[in-house]
Amino acid sequence: MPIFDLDSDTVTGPAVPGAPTERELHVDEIQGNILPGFGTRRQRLLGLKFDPAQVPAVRTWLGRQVDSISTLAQTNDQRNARRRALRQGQPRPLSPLLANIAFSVGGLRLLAPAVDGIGDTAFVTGMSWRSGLGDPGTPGNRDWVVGGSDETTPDALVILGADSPDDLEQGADALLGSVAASSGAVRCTYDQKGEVLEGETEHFGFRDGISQPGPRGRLSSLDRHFLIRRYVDPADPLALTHSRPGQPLVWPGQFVFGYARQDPDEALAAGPVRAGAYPWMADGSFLVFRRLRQDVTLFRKFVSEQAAALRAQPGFSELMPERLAAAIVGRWPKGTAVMRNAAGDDPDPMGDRLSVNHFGFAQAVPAVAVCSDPLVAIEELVAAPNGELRTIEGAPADPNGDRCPRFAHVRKVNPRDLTTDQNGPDRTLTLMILRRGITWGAPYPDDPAQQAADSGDRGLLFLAYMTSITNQFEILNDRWMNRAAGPEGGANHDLLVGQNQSGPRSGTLRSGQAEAAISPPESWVTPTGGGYFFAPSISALRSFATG
Amino acid sequence: MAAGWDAIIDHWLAHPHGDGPFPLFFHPRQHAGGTRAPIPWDAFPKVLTRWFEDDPQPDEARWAAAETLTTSDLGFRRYENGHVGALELVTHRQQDEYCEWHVDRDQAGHISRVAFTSEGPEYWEFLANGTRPFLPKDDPHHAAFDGDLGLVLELYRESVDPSVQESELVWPYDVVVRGRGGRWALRYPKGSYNGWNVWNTTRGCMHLTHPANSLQAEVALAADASIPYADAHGADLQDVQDLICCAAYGDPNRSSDPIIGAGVNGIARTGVSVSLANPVGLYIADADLDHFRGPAGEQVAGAWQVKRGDASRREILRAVFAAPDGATFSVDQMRADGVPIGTGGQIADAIQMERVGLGLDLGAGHVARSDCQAKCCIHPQHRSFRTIVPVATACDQVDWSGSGPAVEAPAAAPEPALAEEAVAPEAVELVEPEGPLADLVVQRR
Repeated sequence: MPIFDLDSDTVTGPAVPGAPTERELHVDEIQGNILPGFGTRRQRLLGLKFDPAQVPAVRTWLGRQVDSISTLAQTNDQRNARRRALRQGQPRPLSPLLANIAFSVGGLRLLAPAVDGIGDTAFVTGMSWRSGLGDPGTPGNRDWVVGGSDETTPDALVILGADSPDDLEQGADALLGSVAASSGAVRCTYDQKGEVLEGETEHFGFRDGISQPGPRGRLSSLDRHFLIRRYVDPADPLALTHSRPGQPLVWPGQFVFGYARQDPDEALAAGPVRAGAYPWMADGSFLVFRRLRQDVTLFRKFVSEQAAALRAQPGFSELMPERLAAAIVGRWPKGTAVMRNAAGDDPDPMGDRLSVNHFGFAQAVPAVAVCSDPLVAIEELVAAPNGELRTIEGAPADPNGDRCPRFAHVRKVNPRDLTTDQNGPDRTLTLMILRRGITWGAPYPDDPAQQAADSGDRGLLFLAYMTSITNQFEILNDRWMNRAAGPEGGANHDLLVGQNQSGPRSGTLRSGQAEAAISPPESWVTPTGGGYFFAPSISALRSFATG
Repeated sequence: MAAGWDAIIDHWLAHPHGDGPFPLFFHPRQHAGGTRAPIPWDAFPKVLTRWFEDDPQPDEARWAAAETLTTSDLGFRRYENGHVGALELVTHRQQDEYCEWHVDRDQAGHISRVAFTSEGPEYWEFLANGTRPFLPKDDPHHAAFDGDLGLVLELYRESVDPSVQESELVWPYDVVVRGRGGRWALRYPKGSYNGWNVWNTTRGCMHLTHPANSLQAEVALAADASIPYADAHGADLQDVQDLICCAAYGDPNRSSDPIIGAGVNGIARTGVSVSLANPVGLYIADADLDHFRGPAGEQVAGAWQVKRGDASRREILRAVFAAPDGATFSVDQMRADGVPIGTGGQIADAIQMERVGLGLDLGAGHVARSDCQAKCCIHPQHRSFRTIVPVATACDQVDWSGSGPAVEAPAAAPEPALAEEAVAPEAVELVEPEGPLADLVVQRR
């Protein structure tokens, strides 16, 4: 008996006894890249500056864009269309052009009725000033492509999404045409294309975006019309707190203003509504954007040379570069968690999205029954008919970091069931962010001759949504990625993306009783742009347009 | 002197909290070795972060509250001319993560420095008054050290202000508390060191003042947290908050108690015995200097000056944040994460604390799990703020008045009246305390 109908778009999970009631989200108000996320193969980011002497013209321009801003409802329709096509064995439907817009504090100062009461210190200060991020250069005057100073921080960041390059080009042309027609009220100062790489990896070759929190909330008054599809056996207590193994359910106020936030001490409990400082912030979200450049040559060189150096040390004679790289990331390239397989990648880890993220660190996780859904698990893996329960295997405990090092990126930014310097796993849920990033730049060439001539121009357009930049993104970045003793004592720095302007980064690799220090001489991920933005609701956009 | 302090720590480790028992807690002198387990937490008071979590301006509110002094009732009363006077509240800081700080301003109002300390009040009472207040009379080290108020004065002059006078550091009258049996005991004789003196509260910072920042209490915490607990279904409690709410071994709103407790309990649950690594203490571990810049964006590595303790071991006792040597700017012209520095809290945000536990398998094996005697209730308005109550208490019966931080400095207290005690014979008869004086102090948990 199926636990729910997989072909329904309006019943997206089983009935779970004792589950809390989740509020309806304002699907026509919340911008669609926040929830559920564009999910398109291509994106284009356009940074716009407004002329402060022409605010009425800016408003007029904005008024002409609002109808094109994609909502949660529209983006979700597209997600459902993709799913339906997959179910029916049809090719993936091309997404229509999707568009979202967000404003920096500078942009809001021109458009919003008031801004000084916004209580998020990070947003109000601006990313280029936030020294705790560990970025090289001078605060407020960074040598960045975009956002290095208040002057070069766009007033608005438009995100366009499409699957086909022609659709994206057309959409950008239309937007740039409207900018050109604004008589200088609006200028485009930044224009960047992003594209999903083959295998959905980032440029170092690792599958990205595997782990996301599952925002609670419903899309209509139907009692099981959840935004996030639920798969866990309703008889398992895990079903109360997780949508799928490894995806915790988080109250939506952590990501969208105007909804209940998470309680820092109780995973299941809804906290009070997280209201922004102003009514126009309802249904909006902060957007963190960081243009990260990835030096693949440097990364590969370090991994290769360091592994070779370690092979000369007792206890590490078998250490190959692939193993070292997996230790730095916490996953193997195709996405298998080191906690689920210490020896190497499973044949097709993303073929079963319900098991790929099922692991903890402090405790072993038991086997768990989940709803069988061929859209998240390839046919061959499905041991039960669609919609019925199948069992996925658990994973061992690793409280001391013997299997997955404490410096591993996935462990540093998502310590899961570990006690941390910020408190416990329930507090960790309040730090989570919705990642919506996309890679930019050509894939790293396979041909060594081309590698030698490579420009190095590639990386990640890191994009993430949350309702507190100061207490979500910046805690993950400053206190966990960039600090050695966080989240765990003696944890060591995040060697993948952590930064430390005050000293070298280092980590301790263990192999049985043997220990070795790893200390990369340089960073291979460099921030080259970014900013803190706010993505308002559709109503707020309309009110800004009318002034 | 060192032997004296050693004897005090030794005594606490041997008698961590009442009669125990603590089958999974060991005295590190009795067993060599063990695996070190560093336990870090944030220096900025989490209780304030929680209280202001839903405030429209949470950072400004918590930074301001952190530097607002408050008063507490520790049961002290003035005793003069044979009369026990009214309650003497002590003025202290609202910083309770074992890190306290004071902002010094110059004549023009610019911040000249911010002094941070993690030194416990017991150590300073020991420096001034010696071993006698801490050790039972039959302890061979009871009189090992007489105390040296002159040394204390010298340290104050060196660290806080050269103009400190001894008369400003001491109680101007006898201070008594209710001892065992309800009779009055002399806690601080007139002329003895007062840890809440003006140079350690309103005008400076030499050591910790918050009643919860007690080193003895943290030794007790390590023992208390070594007891494993199970829930109603017999499953081990593991969660940080579940444990502290159940076992009531500290304040669930702090960072220190819940995180240290969970760290200790996590080891003990596996049957491995726990203790504290030597030297026993709770330290400032480090400050992330990436957060700070001069007015022109310059790095300011020299701004963090460690004065006491050992930075290389992450055991800092005292550090001062000031403009680096040779700088032409003051602290308030520097920026913390892009925000001009106006409070010490902005610096504390970059500071991490640490204590180091010790795990050693002594074959204790599986210890029976205890049942919860307590639970937490959530404040109706400040929904990240909790209090611990007995299991049987209904949360809607909790009296929340008096919860939460002071947001205004205490008004200057009028001179307390004498002769408020009506019972004259009791007032004149003082008794020697039965046991260490320090045990008489109300331990704030």
